[in-house]
This record gives sequence, structure tokens and C-alpha cells, in this order.
Amino acid sequence: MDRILILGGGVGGTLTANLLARKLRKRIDRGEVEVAVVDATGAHVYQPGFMYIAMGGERAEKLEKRERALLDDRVRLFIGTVDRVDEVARTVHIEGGAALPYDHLVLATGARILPEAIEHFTTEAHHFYTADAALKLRKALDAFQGGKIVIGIASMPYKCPPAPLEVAFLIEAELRDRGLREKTEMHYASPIGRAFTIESVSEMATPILEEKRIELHTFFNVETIDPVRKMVLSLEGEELPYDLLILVPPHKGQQFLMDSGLAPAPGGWLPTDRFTLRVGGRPNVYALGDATDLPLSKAGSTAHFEAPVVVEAIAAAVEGRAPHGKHATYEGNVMCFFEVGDGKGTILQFDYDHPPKPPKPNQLWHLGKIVFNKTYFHTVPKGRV
Amino acid sequence: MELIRGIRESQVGDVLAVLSSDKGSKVDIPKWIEKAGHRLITVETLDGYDQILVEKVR
Repeated sequence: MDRILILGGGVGGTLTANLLARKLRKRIDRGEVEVAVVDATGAHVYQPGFMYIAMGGERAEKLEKRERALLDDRVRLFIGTVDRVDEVARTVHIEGGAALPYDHLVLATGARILPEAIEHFTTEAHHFYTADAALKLRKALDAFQGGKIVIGIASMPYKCPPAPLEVAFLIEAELRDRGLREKTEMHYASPIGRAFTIESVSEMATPILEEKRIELHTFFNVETIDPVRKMVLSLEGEELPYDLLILVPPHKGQQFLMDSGLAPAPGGWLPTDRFTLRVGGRPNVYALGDATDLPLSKAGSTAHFEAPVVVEAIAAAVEGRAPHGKHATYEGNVMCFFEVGDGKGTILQFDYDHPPKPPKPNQLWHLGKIVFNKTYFHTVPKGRV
Repeated sequence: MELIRGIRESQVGDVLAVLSSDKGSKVDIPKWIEKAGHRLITVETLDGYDQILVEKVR
């Protein structure tokens, strides 16, 4: 019996499970292979929708489905929080005492946000990385009547790299519609030397920031927030005053990965081979999605493109052959939609060797993102696209 | 970004070495050092990577 254990029921874990169930169907039916997912909540959440809660067009209940309903019937689901991985015994321990043995382990454990890592973040800053926080930001935007808005990124890496720029562009458009733009100063704080990590995207986004009169502050790594003076201070020594502060919170990998010796502290990102997606040279442990240390966007689409590679590697191991075909290795494929406001968007498609060449923003890519968001639960987790 | 973590965790007067195979580092890192008010000691291209030495001064 080959026991395949997948930790995490997000995009990467769910898609990996469903593709394995399809590829190894006969072996599962004969009792030779078992595929199981462990998820902390049993709810599958479409996180890219959070930004649209903040922008007023989405509701939290539309962004969540039961994980069980998305998984193939051949996949077992355990709901519980992972305590640690015992690599010697090839066992995953769940809080409360359960122990799950594995032969092949897939770590699709995502990223954690840590707003509390910056003092006064939780009382002074808004973000859109949970449904509740996004709704709170929506209420703050509704109450906003002009002043200084600072939008920034506390530290790298973080999920959905285009999101803070998209939020800046969408808020700017909203303020124009509400007649508040002339009463508002907008500032965008980037921790690196340009507006976006990828140079070609930065070259596309910087003129849009200029056109929309959003002042760009580069090399701004958030150090502290002064709630009395209403200032956000950078490690580099700069200060920005705010009336409304929107910051991407610090992110880390899961604590149990560090505690189990799978990922180094303090970041907790899994050391992942860029082509095979194996973790730290281990022959039977794979990572995908936000949990890896790969120099790629932490985005659902990254996991979407990685899952078939993990599936092919495990199927090959089960069948006693080498991985083959177009999913034998991962080439760094990522695809992200990018909103620029006023009903327009663009698309970023790239891999390790080919940086994105975003087309001129138009309505088509904005609509493409909306359609993708609305159809996600029917397509991506089930491996239909 | 490892340099930023290193600077946060070190004391004034400490010297940090960044080893990077990313070609952008030898341009981006000196710019960051200047903005952050630290001292760039050297930028040296070695076998397949660049070594950048920086002193934390504040």
C-alpha cells in the first residue's frame, strides 16, 4: 500500500489530491494506494476574493465551500491541525493525538499572516488578507472623507504580489467616483527599489501610479507605527503620515514545519527544488504553493501549475518509473490577473526563463479576472482547467 | 531581503556579507544601503556570485 498524505486543503492540496485520484484511480480502487488530505478547518476558501470584499463587490459566504464537496470521493479527508511531522517514523501527528502514516508527503500548507508582528498594526492598520479584515477596510473606506492614504507592504515575501498595487488603483478610481480624489493624498510604499518585484511589471505599473498621482516611496520596509502622531516609520528612516493606513502584513510559513526540521526559521519557507518540487533533497516529500521558498509569486496560480508536477512525480514513484511528459518538471509557470481600476486589467504570464510582458490594460482582462473568480470552485480545485 | 533581516538583527558597527547570484543585487543592494544610511564597504564579483560587504552604522 502506498499512502499519499497531503497537508493543506487550499488550491495546491485539493488539486493535487483530485489529480492523484484521477491518475491512480484503478490502484486506489484495488486498495493499493490511499490518498488523504489533512485540513485544519474543512473549509476551502478562495482567498483572491478577499480584495473584492474590501472593494465592495464580494461577500465572504460566496468565497467558501466545504472541502469535502470539492474532493474526489476516492480521497479521504481528515480535519485537524498538524502538530508535527516525524520523518523517521514517516508519520504526521495531529493535535489531539491522532497519527497518520505516509509513504509520500505533500506539503501544501500555505502562508500565515502575522499582523501582530508589528506593534500597533492591529489597531492602526487595515489589510485585506482575511474576510473580516477586508470587511473592516470596506467600512473604513465608506467612512473616509478625504485625507492621506498610505498603502504599502510591511515586508517580503507576501501572498498575491499584485494585490496592493491593485488595491491602490481601485481605491483611487473609487475616490474619483465619490468626488473625494482632490481631497486625498495617496502614497504607495514598496520595500524594494521599485514598485513591483518583476522589472517589466514595475515598468508597466509605475506610469500608472504617476498618472493616478499616487506617490511611490521605494525601499520602505515598515519598522514601526506611531499611533499618536499617525505615522508609519521605515527601517530606512522615512516617515509617512496617514489618515488611512493599509498594509500587507508580514507573512511566514507554518510553525510546525520549523518545529519538525523541514523549514528553517525565522521565515519557515520550505527549501524546495525549483524543478522537481522535492523538499530539501528528500525523495518522498514535496511542496507547492505559498509554502515553498521558490522565487515566485505566492499565488493560487503557482500552486495550480505546480500540482500536476507533484502528481506526476508521485504517480511515477508508485508505478516504479521515471516522471515523464510535460509535467515531468516545473518550469516556474505563473499566471496572474492585474486590475488597474476603471474597469480595466492586464495579465502577467511568466516562467523561470521568460519574464511577463503585460499587455496594455483593457476591459477584457478585467472581465477575465471576474469570470475566473466566479467560476473558480467549478474549475480549478477539480482539475477542469 | 535577507540583508534587511540581517541589519534588523545586528548591532551598530557589525559588518554583514551578502552573497548573491542574482545579477540585480549588485545594483539594488548598494542603492538600499545608501537610502538606509549604512556604509557600503565593497562589491566584489567572485566565482558565479557577487559579495557585498556592508557596515551597520545607525
